[in-house]
Amino acid sequence: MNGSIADVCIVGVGAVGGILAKQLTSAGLKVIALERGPALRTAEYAQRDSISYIARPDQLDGVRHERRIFRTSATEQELNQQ
Amino acid sequence: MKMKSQSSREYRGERLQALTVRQARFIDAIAGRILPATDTPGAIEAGAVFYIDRSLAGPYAHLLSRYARGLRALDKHAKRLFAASFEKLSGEQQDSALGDLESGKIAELRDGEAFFELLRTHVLEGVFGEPSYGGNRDMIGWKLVGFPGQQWGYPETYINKVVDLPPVIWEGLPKKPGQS
Repeated sequence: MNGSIADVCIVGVGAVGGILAKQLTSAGLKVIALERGPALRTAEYAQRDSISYIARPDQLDGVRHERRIFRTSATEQELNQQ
Repeated sequence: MKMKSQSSREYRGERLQALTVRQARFIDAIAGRILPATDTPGAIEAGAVFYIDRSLAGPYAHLLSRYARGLRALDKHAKRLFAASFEKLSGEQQDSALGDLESGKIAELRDGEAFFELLRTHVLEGVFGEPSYGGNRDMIGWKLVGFPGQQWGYPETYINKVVDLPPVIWEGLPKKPGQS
């Protein structure tokens, strides 16, 4: 592998990144996946009902309330935006 | 006295949490015009009024006074047009009073269009939302549109096919063997 530790790095292991990681590893590639959010349990995915997620989304306490962090380089002081 | 006040909050055999019986009857009549029963059941049968009642007792509590004000104005308008309470009018007369609300023609209500939109939205939430919120009785709304409900997953045969399974209600994660 010429000193590299993986073939692919996936940033964000959500609905897309998670499936991508599964497909790539099944195909024999070595994958590193990075995720900054908490590990969600199955139940947290399953309870997306139409009333709380569509009719009353303003009452959800979800990712939209988490702070976003921006950097233009790895060593730069992070820029926070609410 | 306590007994009396409790029984006076009963509507269609259920205890109301936010609405008065009068308001519930009124909203039911409106619901019946927004999604009338035809050869299939409508918003009354789906119990949209109970969804609205429970929501107004909880997350929509701030809208209760708006409901009271809006219903009062609509009833006054119905009496002006047809000399009877809204619930007692024919479907056609109710539609005409609701039409005036929708187009903002009720003088006493400055935000009439917005109140109509609120009513309509809440009635539809009560028909098509999860039954655990008080409406969508017997999954009437889901059966109307062929929505299979909160299915845990689909068997292979349903992938890329129209799902014609009867709707189900989410009742928590499937229990693993040995779990109580």
